[in-house]
Amino acid sequence: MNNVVGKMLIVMQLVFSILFMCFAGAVYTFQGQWKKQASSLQAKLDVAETQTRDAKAAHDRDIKVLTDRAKEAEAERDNAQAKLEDAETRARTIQEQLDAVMLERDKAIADAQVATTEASARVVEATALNKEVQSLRSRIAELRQELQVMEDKLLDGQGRLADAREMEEQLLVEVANLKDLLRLNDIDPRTVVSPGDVPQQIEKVDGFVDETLRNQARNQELVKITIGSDDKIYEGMTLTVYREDSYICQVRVMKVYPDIAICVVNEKTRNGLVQVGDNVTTKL
Amino acid sequence: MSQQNSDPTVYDGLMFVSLGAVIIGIVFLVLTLSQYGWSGP
Repeated sequence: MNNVVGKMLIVMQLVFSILFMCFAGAVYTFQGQWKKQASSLQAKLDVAETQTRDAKAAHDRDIKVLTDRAKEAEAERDNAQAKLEDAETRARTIQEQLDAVMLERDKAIADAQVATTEASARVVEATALNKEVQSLRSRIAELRQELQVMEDKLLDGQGRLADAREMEEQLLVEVANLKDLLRLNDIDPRTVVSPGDVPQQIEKVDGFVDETLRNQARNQELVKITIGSDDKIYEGMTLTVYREDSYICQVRVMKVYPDIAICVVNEKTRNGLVQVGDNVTTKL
Repeated sequence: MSQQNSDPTVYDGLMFVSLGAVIIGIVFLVLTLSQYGWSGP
């Protein structure tokens, strides 16, 4: 039995010894390649470590820069926050001022509306006053015209008054002369004389026939002449119509105007037809 | 004292072969260690 065990141990020792030799040879054979790979890996590892250090340094720098930036950003944030708070405070102040201004604006609008209403009323009043002024101006113009007419009449009356005074003076002189003449002829001035005893004194005034017209019965002929009351023509006065050297007829004054007179032909005295342009006279 | 058989057997040869293999393995390992700067004991 011991012999069998010893043999098995010898065989096993042989096998393992051979295996040991093979593995040692394999190690010796491949160790150069492994060493190269290890060196290569070590170099790569060194490079990687270098890169890692560089990256770490860069990372540290970046961290430092970012930290500085973060600090600056925080400072800017704080500054901006302070500005924001200041702006908010100013915004609140401005909002309060705006509210006050809006309140004043509303008051101003209300005042403006009231003023507008008053202005409209003033405009209406101004329009009414303007119309009244225009009416008064028209009235003033009418009154001026009336005043002008009255002044014309006044001037006319003053002229007439002056003529009358002059005539009065002449008449007074004439009366004095007549009184002297009566006293000289020994005639009593209080003697009553009937109007028929003294023929009326007629001044010679000449005119023309302006128009002739017969009545509907054609038994009377009316004549309009160019002389009137301004020429001392009076109603009932008898005038003579003639043409050159021919006697036509006599006419009696029926209606007198300042510049014209309407006469009726006395048919008993007619010696011809009256024509426009014939001469008219108060005394031949 | 009994007399033993002194004739070498095949197993003795195997033992020598095993010894040679161990020695060769040791040489390989020494050479290998010398590549890494091993200067010996």
